[in-house]
Amino acid sequence: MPTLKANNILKRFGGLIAVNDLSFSVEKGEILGIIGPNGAGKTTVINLMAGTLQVNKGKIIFNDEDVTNNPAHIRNRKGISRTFQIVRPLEDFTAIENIMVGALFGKGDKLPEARKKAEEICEFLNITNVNKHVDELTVLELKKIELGRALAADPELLFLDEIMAGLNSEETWELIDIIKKLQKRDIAICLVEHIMKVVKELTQRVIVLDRGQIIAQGPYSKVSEKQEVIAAYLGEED
Amino acid sequence: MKKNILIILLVIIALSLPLFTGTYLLHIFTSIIIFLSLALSWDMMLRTGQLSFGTAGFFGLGAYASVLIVAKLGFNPIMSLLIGAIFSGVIAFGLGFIVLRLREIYFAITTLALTHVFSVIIRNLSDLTGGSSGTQLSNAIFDGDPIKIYYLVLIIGLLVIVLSEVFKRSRIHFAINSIRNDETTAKSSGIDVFKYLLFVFVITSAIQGLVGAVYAQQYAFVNPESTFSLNFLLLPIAMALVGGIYSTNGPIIGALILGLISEYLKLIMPYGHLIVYGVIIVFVVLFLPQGVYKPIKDKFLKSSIVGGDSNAHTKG
Repeated sequence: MPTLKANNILKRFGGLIAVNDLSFSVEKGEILGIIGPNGAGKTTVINLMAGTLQVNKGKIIFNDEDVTNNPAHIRNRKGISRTFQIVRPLEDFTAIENIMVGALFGKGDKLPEARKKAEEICEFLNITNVNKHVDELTVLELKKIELGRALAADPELLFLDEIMAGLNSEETWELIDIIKKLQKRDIAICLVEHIMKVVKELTQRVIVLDRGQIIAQGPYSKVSEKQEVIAAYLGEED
Repeated sequence: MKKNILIILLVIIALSLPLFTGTYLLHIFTSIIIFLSLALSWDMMLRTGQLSFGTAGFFGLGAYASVLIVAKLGFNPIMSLLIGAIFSGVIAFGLGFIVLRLREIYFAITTLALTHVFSVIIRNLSDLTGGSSGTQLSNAIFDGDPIKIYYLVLIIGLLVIVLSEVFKRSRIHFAINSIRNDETTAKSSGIDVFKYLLFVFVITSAIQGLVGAVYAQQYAFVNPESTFSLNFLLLPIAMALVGGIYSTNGPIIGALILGLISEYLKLIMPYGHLIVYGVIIVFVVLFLPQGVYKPIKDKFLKSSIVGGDSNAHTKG
């Protein structure tokens, strides 16, 4: 049984069809890459799956349960967490308080439990400035907080939206190691990423989106050689 | 420790105030505590990121509910305070489903309009409410005994202060602060945004109704003009801004400062006092945008601030 099954998803923004008849699934312990050129609909897919946006058509099945009509906070409580492409920290909180929010509401912990949970996550993610306010943190730390808040809800399914963007090589490898550890915890992970070295290193399978449709899928090494994928990224020659 | 002693000392002073002040000062402090409670309730809603201009409206509804239930049905005045609170809370609950879909300036302007709508409705239900001339009770609460009224208002003020601290120290703080900072993040982190907004809107409106009820019972009188006066909106906001928003101590300090200054100014310049009062507010907002409390805290109380209060951090 897949952790997530998306069936024939359709999303329109006015006259624009952003996601068209999209179906895919992710299994426990699997990392699925979602790649494609800018504007292909990758972030929209995450928004639809996490409930930040609602679908116009189609079904989203999470752990054999239809969550299509659940709002974002319910899906989060059921075990779907996400990070945002442009980090969205809660600026009046400290690093650890940001992570506590995930445990308090996503998981339903009491305050002391949530603090303990957040401390564990800070240790796991190697966040040292736990009591610093958001405006004093580095990009890497902000990304880790974003990930930490998502993890604090104890997700079974995790969406990572270009989490490596803006990091240097060393920092990227640090996060890659962290994500590998998450995979060992049997979390199903969907990764939207532009940095192909990350996709190559982490994913077992990718789906390639172009104009809201899947144009190719399979292991990265196979997909990256396909003519239509290259054409989608680079444009076709006459 | 130092902080706890300070709090106990202040409570003792508040409790023993009638022993060493005359009726006049007691009356001033009663009115300061009334405005302090309104300022705190306004701030509690602001902590969700929603700027409410409905304070005077729910204050007025509570006042009317309380006075009418005594005048028409012969309720005990103390009981009627509770009715005032519940009435405002129930109305806020119903309206919340509509107005809490709005954000920012649209929410603010709608709550302000509601205040006016309430007063127009009450003005037109003249059989029940006495129309524009209002309703008068034969007797003020406790027969107008200023000491008893002071203690009643003090109990309500302390209740609101405790509630504000509960808001700051519980999971409510984490929920509403998240909603204020970033609603999308809040939703994705499992927070039921609407539920928390509605909860805070109902609680703060009920407080405003309770305060309105006690105010009306103190004067044994309501009429649309004075009961829905914008003073019950603008003064609490000024107090919270001067003291410092998103905290319990800020609105308390703001209410004490502005309350005492305005009384003093009234004495020394009966006609120009509002100008000076306005200038003070403008100066504080310009030069101390975080209010007066935070700079004082940072300077003098740093060592004694622990735990929950560090959350009172605001951005300038």
